[in-house]
Amino acid sequence: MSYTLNGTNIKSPNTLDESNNSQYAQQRTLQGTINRDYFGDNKRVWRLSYQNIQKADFDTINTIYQAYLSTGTAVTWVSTETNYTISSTNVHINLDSRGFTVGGEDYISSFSLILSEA
Amino acid sequence: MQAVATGWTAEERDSTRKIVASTQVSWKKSFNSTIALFTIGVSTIGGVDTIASDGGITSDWNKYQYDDESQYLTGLSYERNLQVPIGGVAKAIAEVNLDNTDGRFTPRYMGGNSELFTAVVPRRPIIINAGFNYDGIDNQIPQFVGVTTKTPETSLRNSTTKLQADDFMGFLQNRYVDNTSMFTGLSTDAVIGNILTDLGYATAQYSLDPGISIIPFGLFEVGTRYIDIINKLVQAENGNFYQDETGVLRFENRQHYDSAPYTQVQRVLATSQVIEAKAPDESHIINVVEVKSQPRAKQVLQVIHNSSPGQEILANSTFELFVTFDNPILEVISPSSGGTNSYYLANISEDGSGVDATSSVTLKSISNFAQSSKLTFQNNSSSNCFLTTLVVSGRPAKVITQLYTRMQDDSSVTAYEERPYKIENDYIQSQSWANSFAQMVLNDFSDPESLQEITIRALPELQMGDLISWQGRYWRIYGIKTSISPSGGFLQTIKILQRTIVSYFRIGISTIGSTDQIAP
Repeated sequence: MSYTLNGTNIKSPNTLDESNNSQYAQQRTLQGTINRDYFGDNKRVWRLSYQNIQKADFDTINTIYQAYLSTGTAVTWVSTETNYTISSTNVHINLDSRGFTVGGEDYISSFSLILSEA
Repeated sequence: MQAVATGWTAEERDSTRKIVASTQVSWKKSFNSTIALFTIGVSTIGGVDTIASDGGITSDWNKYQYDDESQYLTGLSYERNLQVPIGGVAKAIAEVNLDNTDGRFTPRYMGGNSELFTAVVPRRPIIINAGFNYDGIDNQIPQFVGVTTKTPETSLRNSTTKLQADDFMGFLQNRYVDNTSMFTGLSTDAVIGNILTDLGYATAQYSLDPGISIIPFGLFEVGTRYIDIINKLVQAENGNFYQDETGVLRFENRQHYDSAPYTQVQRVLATSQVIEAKAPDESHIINVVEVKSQPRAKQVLQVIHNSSPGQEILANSTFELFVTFDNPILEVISPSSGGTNSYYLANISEDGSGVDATSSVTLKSISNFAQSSKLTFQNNSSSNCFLTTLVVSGRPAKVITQLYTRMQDDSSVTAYEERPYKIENDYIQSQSWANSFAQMVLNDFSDPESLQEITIRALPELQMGDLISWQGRYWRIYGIKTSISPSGGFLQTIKILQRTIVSYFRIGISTIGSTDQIAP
């Protein structure tokens, strides 16, 4: 049971949030009804929040992120957790910021990993 | 209206629609005459066969090899408007916005290195289809076929590329007559057909209504754009010439919409489909119409040039003489020394009082142009002589009548003051048609209630001329602007002209004394 990004197991996040991202336009007609035109399929977005993470665990994720940036190719994302499974899905990666709130030489950090379905 | 399935009709009126659109571009303009068009029951879904423009129509542009750029599509719009108030040539335009995050459309000179980097240039064939996804299947119908007009606009900062395109009317706009030509006694469709054939169009690529006018005489002068010739001919008929959504060029005469299916309401627009309705301003009002025409027709053989050149021709020499005629000439009889209708006289004296020298002079050659001739005379004697008389006969195309009519709608003039419109077209052949033409323009455009512009949730099957019902009245579509964007959705702004359905007299069907009217 694990979370796998681009074939590599990554540390389980402290919190995980899944949201839907549908692209649609909404119109209101002269009759008053509200209608929607949808474009494409619904896409999921996962936000994995990490608190006080060891450098090695961050580096694992960051290496995948850097490879994604250099190739520009979406990577696979899989969850095999017992009660939360995600079949292999191509995702884009955002690893926008990293914060250090714990002093010391270990550089324990907190950050969010955002995965957007391609 | 393009034919669509029942499922389509239900989906387009659903409060939640799933929009699909596609764009194919032949970046490399590779032409492959062996391309097979998709045939239901024969081709396989996902196979290599191309979707044809319209089922059985095999137009040349179908034979290009296209790249499907649908996955990069972020928005598109396309527009087609018939010319009002008098018809003519109408051109459709389109704009396509593409995502260029991966640099696919970045040209070489901007650092591009994709498989297309040398092919991102103008004049590429482009196809746009649009529709709905229902029952789990993308269902699309043709919307636009044409050629990109300029180099795609690429923004590296925004990672976007914009394409702009014209339909094939743009091609006709850039073709010029390179040899003066004349025709007599042809109908409008025959003239257009000849032009399209000369330009390389196959008969499957156009559909021409029979021309109502027979044009006694027409002249195409060098340097005239073909599109201007067609425009003038079509306007004289109050017809329309445009390319439809499937890529077929259409000439529709003024009676085109007077019979089924155009006399039946294709779609009833409910307010639940309409987002905005606007009355246009008064600028479209026409309440005074003037029609002028000077039609020409070929004449019987007659003298078209008679002069006394008094030009000296040196002994054993040639002399070139240009003569200009007052009218275009269909046939010139070459003058000869003993000719009856065309002849010349020569004399050793300039005033013709000396010894006749006509027998010493021969016409070596004659070159005829539309309204002039170049004659080369040879003096075969050892003495100088003078060309004293030159009479040339031929068949000119003369102005046969001056047509003029002026009509006005008094009540509209009282309300809005004079709003004149002038129609000058020498292909208008009769006074009765000039009168009818003026009256038809007044009927449609003297009243501000006749036009509307409404924005609707798109019904992509609608076409030019379709009759719709809106607010309990009948309207005919003469313009459609469609846009597909994530912010606005799938919308159409349609221009509509109010119509009263008239039943016209048909031989063998209508009865004398019935209410059926004689078609204009």
